Amino acid sequence: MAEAQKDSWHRRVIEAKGGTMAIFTAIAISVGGLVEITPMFSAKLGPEHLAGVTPLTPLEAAGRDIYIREGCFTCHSQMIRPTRAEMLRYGEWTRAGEYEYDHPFLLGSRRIGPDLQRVGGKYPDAWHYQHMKDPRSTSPGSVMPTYPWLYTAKVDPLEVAATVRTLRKVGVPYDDQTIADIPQQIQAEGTAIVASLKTGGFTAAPDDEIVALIAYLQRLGKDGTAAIKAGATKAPAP
Amino acid sequence: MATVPSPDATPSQAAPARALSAGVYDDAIVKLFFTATVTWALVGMLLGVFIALELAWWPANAGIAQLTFGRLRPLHTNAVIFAFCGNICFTGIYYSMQRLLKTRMWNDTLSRLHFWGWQLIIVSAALTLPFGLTQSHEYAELIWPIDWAITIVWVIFAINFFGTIAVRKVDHLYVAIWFYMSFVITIAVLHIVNNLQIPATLTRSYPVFGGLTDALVQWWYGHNAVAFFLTTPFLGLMYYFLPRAVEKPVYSYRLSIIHFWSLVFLYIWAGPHHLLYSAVPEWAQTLGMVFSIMLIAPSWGGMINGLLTLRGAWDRVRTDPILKFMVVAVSFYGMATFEGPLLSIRAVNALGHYTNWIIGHVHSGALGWNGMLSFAILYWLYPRLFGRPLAKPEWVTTHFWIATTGIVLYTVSMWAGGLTEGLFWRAIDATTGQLRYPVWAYVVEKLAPFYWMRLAGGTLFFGGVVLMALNFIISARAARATTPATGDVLPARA
Amino acid sequence: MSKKERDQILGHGAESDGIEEYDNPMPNWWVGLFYATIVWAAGYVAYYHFIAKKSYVRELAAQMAEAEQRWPRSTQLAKVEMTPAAIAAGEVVFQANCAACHGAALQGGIGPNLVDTTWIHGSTPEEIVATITNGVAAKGMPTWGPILGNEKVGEVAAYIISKGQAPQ
Repeated sequence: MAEAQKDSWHRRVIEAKGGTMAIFTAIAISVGGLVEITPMFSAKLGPEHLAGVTPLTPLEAAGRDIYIREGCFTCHSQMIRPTRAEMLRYGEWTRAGEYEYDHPFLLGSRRIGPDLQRVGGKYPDAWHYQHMKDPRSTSPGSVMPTYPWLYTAKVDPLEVAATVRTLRKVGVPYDDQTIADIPQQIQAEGTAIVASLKTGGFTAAPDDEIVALIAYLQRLGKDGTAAIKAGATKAPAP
Repeated sequence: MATVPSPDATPSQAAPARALSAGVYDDAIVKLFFTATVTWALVGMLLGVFIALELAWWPANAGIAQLTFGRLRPLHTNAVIFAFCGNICFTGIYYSMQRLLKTRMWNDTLSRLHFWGWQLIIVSAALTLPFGLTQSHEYAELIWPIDWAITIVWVIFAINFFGTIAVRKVDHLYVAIWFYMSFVITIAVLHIVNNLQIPATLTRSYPVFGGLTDALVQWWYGHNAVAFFLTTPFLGLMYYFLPRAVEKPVYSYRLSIIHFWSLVFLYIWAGPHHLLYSAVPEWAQTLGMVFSIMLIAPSWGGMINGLLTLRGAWDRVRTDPILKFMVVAVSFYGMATFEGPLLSIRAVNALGHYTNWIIGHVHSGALGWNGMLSFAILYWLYPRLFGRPLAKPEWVTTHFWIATTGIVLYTVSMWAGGLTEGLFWRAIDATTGQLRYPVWAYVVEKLAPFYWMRLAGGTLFFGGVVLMALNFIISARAARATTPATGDVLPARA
Repeated sequence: MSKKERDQILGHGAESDGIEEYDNPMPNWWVGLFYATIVWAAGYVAYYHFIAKKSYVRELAAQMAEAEQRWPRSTQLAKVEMTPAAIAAGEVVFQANCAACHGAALQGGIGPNLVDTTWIHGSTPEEIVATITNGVAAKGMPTWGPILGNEKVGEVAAYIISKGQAPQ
């Protein structure tokens, strides 16, 4: 155990001391995260609020849960970058305030399919109905799988209630009335989509999962587009 | 160590030091983690091959919900990162830290709880993700009850880890231990913060952070999962197993100090480079970008220390497949840690983001660095841990060449495919000023050959792992056949 | 740290499972690279945020202005010219963008039939162009004007008219 040389100071006080090493490491790894993340909670430095962006309806929230369950975000982004080419393809680039009520965020990291940030209203309901059943009938060349189970599975109002109540706990402003009326709202919104599907020649029930998913997709980007058109967003400081 | 020849007694400058401590170590736990590593490597990579097939040939899921790309991709990433890479880290850590600290693990029960808890977590991942139970945060998809289990198991591991350090029989902590320590501490912090969720039901929960704050927290986590799960523990493994395999001193102690501290300090800042051109405040994006650039040198410090340790042993690289694996692993580490900062530059990211280039980039790290280093460690450990020779030593070289060819096919195809996407998406028609390729599926169809080529590369890489697993199985059988009396009764404490 | 002789063993081997370490100086090029990246990082932050005062919004505005100049936008609705070239170009546009809803043979599907005699939103070339340009929000038809641009709208209208039973 003979030490061949004198030990350098750092070896004595750091590299030979487990506790010191651990504390220094913990400090070293904390700085960056604190500097970058804490300002996000400040009104001035964090993301801006966008007037006109409102929480999803219960049926849309149910659709979002399906979107998460199926892992749609593994292939579709929800973030249009501020370049001309992106805007020609998808529309207005995405503003920070548009995501305010997104728990969790669904920006995505890979575009195997196109961005969906502003897909709301781009196609008729019937297009989505047909697309999820057979993607190649509406988008020849697509590599998207078919989703036949969405046409038989039902949205459970109790599950939706759990979703909406929890979203309220994390800060999404749902009022008591919305939470009390979840089954009726699902029925009403679903019925409207079913009627529009009928004009396209498709039959569905208001509580079919595909109807909830269509409700969510048709909502995507709409609040943001309206707010941007109305000039509600200020250009972020350079 | 009486019945089996101790490989630790192979002649080297330190043989006497090692012989002192023989017999006190818990190698049974290392064997468990070893076996789990090989098992999950097969599972995780087979899943990768399958989802690669789904992109090349969409009907591959046979209409089954549980087999769709959207549900299996997270299972593939979790299986490879947490099951395969996690278990090799634990294999290497339990083997090396006992020897480096000259003491048995602090508590054998905690070791076993760690092992079985971790495997249970992986099994529960396989039982939830295909059924659509997910939190959607990348590499943090597992639902909240499993998150709690991870926290508990990690605390168990941490107690055992620091307990072992506390009862160590040496003063000095070798550089590998520093890297292990950063792994234990940082993963705990990242995991807890990124999984602050309010449960809605037993299987669903919603994060307390929303919108871009959630995005920033997630990519702080996601980026540093790469840093502190796939980089620092593997550097620790490199610092132990590479000098052991070449039997040469580590090139530079001071380089290891500088690159360790700069790496752990700088890495954590780089997360926002995953959100370039998003609406996240631009100052945060700039920080993500410039800290990524500053990471090149600290990352390369590890590569240099690895490669320069091989000085005077390059002739052995030609003949020893284990060293071949190590050299390629360290080289891929160097390449991936150059490509990463490159992709963090705004202008490059504008082209590469959302494309297959990123997939190619992570796989040059995962297959090249994590995979190849893991294989080297497994092959090096096998005779030393199980006390029996490899039945087919020549297969190791075959594995090396298959794996290398696989990686080349994989990265080249994804690089070409990614550039295709990036350039086609943004191409503007010179006469009209409109998009040159407005139809999305047109670009998708152009990618088909690259997807098939990637599938071929991935299959080759997976084939190499099958060969390795077979080699281990055949070796175990052969040993059992020749030494029926002792083959199964290898001492639990080697 | 003072310069020591190269390849001097530090002698902690006994405390690190026999792994010896040298304390060789760090390669100069590596140290240089590290400093260079730090200097570059500081320079980039200063340049991007304080000297050039760049931002995505400014960059985008510049791109848009440049495009506006290069490809001036016509303020009028598209003109329909029934030339074979326009009709052929219109077919390409139609198959890429419209066929998904209106059918490859214009027979209809999710959207209405375009080769029958019913014209829900008017049958004159001007009306057809307006329908394509502005869309029909209530029925889910997108506003194609900004997506396709005037020229393509004119071409696709020409194609539809050439196929259909609209008065020319």
